[in-house]
Amino acid sequence: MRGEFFRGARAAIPVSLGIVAYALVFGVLVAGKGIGIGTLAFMNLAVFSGSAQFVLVGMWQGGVSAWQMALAAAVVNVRYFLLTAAVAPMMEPYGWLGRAWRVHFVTDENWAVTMAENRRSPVGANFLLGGGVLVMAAWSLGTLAGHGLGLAIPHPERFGMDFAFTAIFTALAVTMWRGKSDILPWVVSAGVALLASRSLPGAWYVLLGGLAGAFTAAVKKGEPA
Amino acid sequence: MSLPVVEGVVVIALSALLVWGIRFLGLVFGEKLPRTGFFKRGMDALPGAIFAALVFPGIVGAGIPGGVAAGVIFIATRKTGNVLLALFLGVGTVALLRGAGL
Repeated sequence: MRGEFFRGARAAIPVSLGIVAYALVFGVLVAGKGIGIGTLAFMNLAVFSGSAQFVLVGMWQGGVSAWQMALAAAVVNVRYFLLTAAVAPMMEPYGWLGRAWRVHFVTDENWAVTMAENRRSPVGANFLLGGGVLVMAAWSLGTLAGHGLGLAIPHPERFGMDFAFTAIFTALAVTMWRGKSDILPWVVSAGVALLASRSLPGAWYVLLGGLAGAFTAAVKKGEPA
Repeated sequence: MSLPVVEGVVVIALSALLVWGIRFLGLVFGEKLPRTGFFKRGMDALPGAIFAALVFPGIVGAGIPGGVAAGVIFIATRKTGNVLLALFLGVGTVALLRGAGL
């Protein structure tokens, strides 16, 4: 059990390095908004979602109700619904309380690492949790350091840093490839996601693309059930 | 202008509750789905489909450097299985091609 936790953390080291870079930038933004370091730390632990936190900080200047801000933060995270649905079988050994706190540690990054590993050899919820704890540590340290240093990286896109997440998810996607049967679901998913990303706000494209791809695989004939 | 501390804490607490609610509801939904036939095929394909949805708009949005970098990442991952190496090669490719004016 503990071995699996540490294996999950170790597997999440590459994504955590990417997170630190992204977190530094976020920390700088947060400091610029006049948000205190204690509030930032609380946000990191309680919300624990980069995209939701970006939205919150973007709306921090006031004039918007707390509910509206919280709803906006939630909407950009609708994709989590599918991520956690996919890890449901791993959570089965635990009671509802055990599932309730473990599910807080599901983020794009450690979910991706866990799913990629699970494709090679089945892993449990502790692998996911180990990665989640490391991601939380990387995110917290990075944001707090960015806040404290107040550094601004001029033109991060010049160094390709804006591509870091796409790069790492692409690499993980390659490890997830199951063979020819994936071609059609992936093409459908990518196409729907591209269309949705250009016509809908936030991260709806992930949800819609993922659902469309999974549906395509589900209705395909001749696939082993 | 920034929110007062107490208001900020309320906003964070509400957001945390809603974001956690989405995570938890997804889990409940996943538990309720049958593990055979149509739903099994769909759920088995779901992780890969989410990956495709996550990365494709980002690759297209990064233009030619993004497309070339995706190819580099594909080859690096298939040949070495090293995700970190693929990350550096991919980001380096984008930086290099942008530097070259692409």
